[in-house]
Amino acid sequence: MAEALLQLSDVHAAYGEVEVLRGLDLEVGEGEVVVLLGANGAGKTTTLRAICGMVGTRGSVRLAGQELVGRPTEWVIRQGIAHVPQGRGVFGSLSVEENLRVGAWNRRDTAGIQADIERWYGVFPRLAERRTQLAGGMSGGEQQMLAVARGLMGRPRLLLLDEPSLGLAQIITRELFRQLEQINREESVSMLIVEQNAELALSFAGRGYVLESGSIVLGGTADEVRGNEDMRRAYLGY
Amino acid sequence: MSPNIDNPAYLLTLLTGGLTNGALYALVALAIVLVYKTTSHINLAQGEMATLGAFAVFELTRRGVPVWIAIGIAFLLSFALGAGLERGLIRPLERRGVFPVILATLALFLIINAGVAIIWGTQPVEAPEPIPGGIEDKVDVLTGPPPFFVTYVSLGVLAVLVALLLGLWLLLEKTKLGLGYRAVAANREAAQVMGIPVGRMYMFGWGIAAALGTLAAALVAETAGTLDFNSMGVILIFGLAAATLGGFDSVPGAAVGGLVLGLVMAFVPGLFTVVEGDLSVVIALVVVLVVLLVRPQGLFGTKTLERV
Amino acid sequence: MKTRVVLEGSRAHRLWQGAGLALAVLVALALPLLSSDFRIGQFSLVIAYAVAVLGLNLVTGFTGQVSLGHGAFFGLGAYTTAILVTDHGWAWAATVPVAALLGLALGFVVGIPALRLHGLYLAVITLAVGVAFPVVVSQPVGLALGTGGVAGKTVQVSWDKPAWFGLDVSDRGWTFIVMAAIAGVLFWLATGLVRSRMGRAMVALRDNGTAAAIAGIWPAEVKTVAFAISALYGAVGGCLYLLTTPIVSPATVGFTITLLFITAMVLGGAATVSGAWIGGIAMVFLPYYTAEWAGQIPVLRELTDQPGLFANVIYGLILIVFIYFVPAGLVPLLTRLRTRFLVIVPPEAAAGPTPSGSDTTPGAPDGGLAGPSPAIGGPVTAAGDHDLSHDPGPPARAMAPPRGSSQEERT
Repeated sequence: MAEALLQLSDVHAAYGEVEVLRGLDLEVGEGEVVVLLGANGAGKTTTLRAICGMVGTRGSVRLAGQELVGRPTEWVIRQGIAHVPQGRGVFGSLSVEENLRVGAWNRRDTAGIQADIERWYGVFPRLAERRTQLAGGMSGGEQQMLAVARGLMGRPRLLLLDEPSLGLAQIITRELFRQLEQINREESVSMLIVEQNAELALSFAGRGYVLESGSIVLGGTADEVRGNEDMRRAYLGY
Repeated sequence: MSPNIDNPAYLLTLLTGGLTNGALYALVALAIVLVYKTTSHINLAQGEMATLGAFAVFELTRRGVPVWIAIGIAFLLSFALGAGLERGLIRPLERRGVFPVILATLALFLIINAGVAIIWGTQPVEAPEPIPGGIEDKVDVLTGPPPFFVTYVSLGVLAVLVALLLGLWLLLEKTKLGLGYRAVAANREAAQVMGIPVGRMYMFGWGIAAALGTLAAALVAETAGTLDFNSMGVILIFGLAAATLGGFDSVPGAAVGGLVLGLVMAFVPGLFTVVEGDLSVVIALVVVLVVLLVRPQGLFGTKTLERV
Repeated sequence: MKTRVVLEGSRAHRLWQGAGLALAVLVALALPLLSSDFRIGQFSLVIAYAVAVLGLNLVTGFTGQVSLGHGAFFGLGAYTTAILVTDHGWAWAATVPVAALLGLALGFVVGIPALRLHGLYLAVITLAVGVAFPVVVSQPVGLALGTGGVAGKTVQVSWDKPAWFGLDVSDRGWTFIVMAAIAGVLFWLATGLVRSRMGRAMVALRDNGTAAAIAGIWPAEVKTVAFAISALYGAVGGCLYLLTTPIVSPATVGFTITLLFITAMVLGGAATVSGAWIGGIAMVFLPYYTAEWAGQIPVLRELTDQPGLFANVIYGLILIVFIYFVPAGLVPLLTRLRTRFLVIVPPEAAAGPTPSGSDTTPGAPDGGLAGPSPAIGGPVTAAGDHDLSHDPGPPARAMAPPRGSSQEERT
């Protein structure tokens, strides 16, 4: 069997002396949407940071066969990964359009960048209306859309999303996930999504993992994860 | 109250003097701000690095290099020195918090200050003159009496400030490098995950700051007529005060802060003879205190200085 | 050598402490007996600087507040004494309380912005105060107060050795002994301060301001008091300085001396009391010997007529080397050296297994003066064991590798 697009094996990560990931294994296939569930502090955000080389990491993280551990973040990003950080993390003092241009930092095709900007304006019309406005002045939902669009400006093979629904109204979350689904279908961008809203995420993802204290305790198709007794009690509340 | 309060030539002289000095403070403040915006550090050796740059200009002109070419060479050398110091001395301390970095810049202060004094002596040297600074190099405005004139040096210093602001604006707003720099300034972590080489943006900030400082010190020396190893000591305080006034993370704030500070320091002692002597550093201290207690982020700043 | 283990507060510990104190007194009495007046003058200067550096340690090392204006406090003390002695005929001893109170007041005023402002703002304000002070004393406003302007203020304080003092020391030697006694009291008080509730609050504030505030420590109180006491020590250091040097000028109290105080603090150990002595020694002897050596090397001698400048370069280099390689300063290193033959154990630690053998490191450096700092030399493996045995945790945790294995992994 060919290796998955993203392959994490026996990953350990630590902030100083506090080890957060303890031998984590996980994979995301080409064109696949995978959701990562778990309680606060289980290490979900750290998993995404470990992939991007933003935390001291041991073990192996491979993107299409290429080892990422030990590489600087900017190199990892150049390999085709986009990271939409938690709490949106837009550049508040830059305009909407500048935010999108920063997202295309590693691209050289000026015409292609312009075309992509227009394209995401088409997908998220709210952003088009505010293109010259400072990103910091927008609502939470708009900032989240901008963060997603900015991530996609890099034409990634793999999109890492950290809590995209955090702080968003339910209706906006639904719209956002509808857009993500469409992007996945049309662009075949693979996605690894960290999400608190397990129900919603599992309805969209093909597979899911449950993370506990820094390692995977459950993994399988969305239905399998949904069907697991412990999982249901812990995260779905029924 | 000064008896000259209704004398237009006197007031205009205060105005041009204040603006000229203010432009110099603005240049130093710009250097401080350009370092602070991305790294959130204040380089306390900024003034000493600038003095070193000015002495480089002095040395080159003494060896027959035309003054503006000498400034250009010193500008580039300073950029390299600033960027190199960031990478070699400051970056390894980055994870250890603010205090080790402050200590490192203080160590730089000691080394450069003493090093300049060892190489070029403790006695003042004659400053290079990038702008004609003779007695007759002035524009007469009011024939008087009393006359009012503007020296070429004043005009030149203000022109340099305007040109630099324009250049910085183009660099930061219209180039990809500038976009990356501003992205790091706005959100360091997000910039990192966009693939921006954050470390190189720190080096860029330090480099530009050092280059600006060199230019500032060369002009400070010309307005003072002499250059010595302590030339920039007090000017650094004025630059810090201007940056505080304008806001530590605001480029236009640094310019406005410098000019306002220059005017305050010209008009307050010029109009109100409360105490004798040159107490400009006390005025700067008062300005800093008032700003920090009333509006800590400064006139145009957004972030408050909260590291440590 | 065999390692001795001593329980803190026990008879044996008191004995060791007493022996240390006796040794210190002996040194203080022997130095003026054995040295020339020139050397005694240098040792006296060490005392003056050590007291000032101790003040900086209290606010920056223990409380974590950046202070770049310590030279101003030192200068305030020196100028107060100089003016009162020379212009008003006061006795030196009578000026010290006045200088101390003025220092306390200025420190309190500088500490007030610290209530609202953190870190770099404080650096800017204290820096401005430090730079403004020598300017003010050299201006007409300073002259009106009797500072003597740029030239400085001369002062003559000379004591005759009293007849009742039995040791055969010179008048300079007598001055040295009095200074040593004053410094002894000041260091003893500082040791008491950092061991008190206030001292623990200072350290807590430095290590984690928010947690300290939650624990009921009022940061405003601690910060202003720390600044005020720091300034008091700085000012008294300035008073002592005039017993060694008959003049104080704006150049003496400029920003450079602040930088030297900071370097001296880092050298000895910022969060130690005794480190101030090492700092003081460095401040006196480093420039002296540097100038001497530089004067002997022809290349350096030709470079400048002021060989003292080389000392500043060396200070800068020392500062960088220490920030990088010895951030805790020399005293913790020396303490670790001491533990090879004498280990002092706090009573609560002795309740557990008694440490034996020279490989046991005591929990706190500097004899516990630095307050609880488990990061340095703490029994790492023991803490790890404790963690695993007392905290069963979720099942996944059992798979965790032993603690500490991940520590080297920081990139």
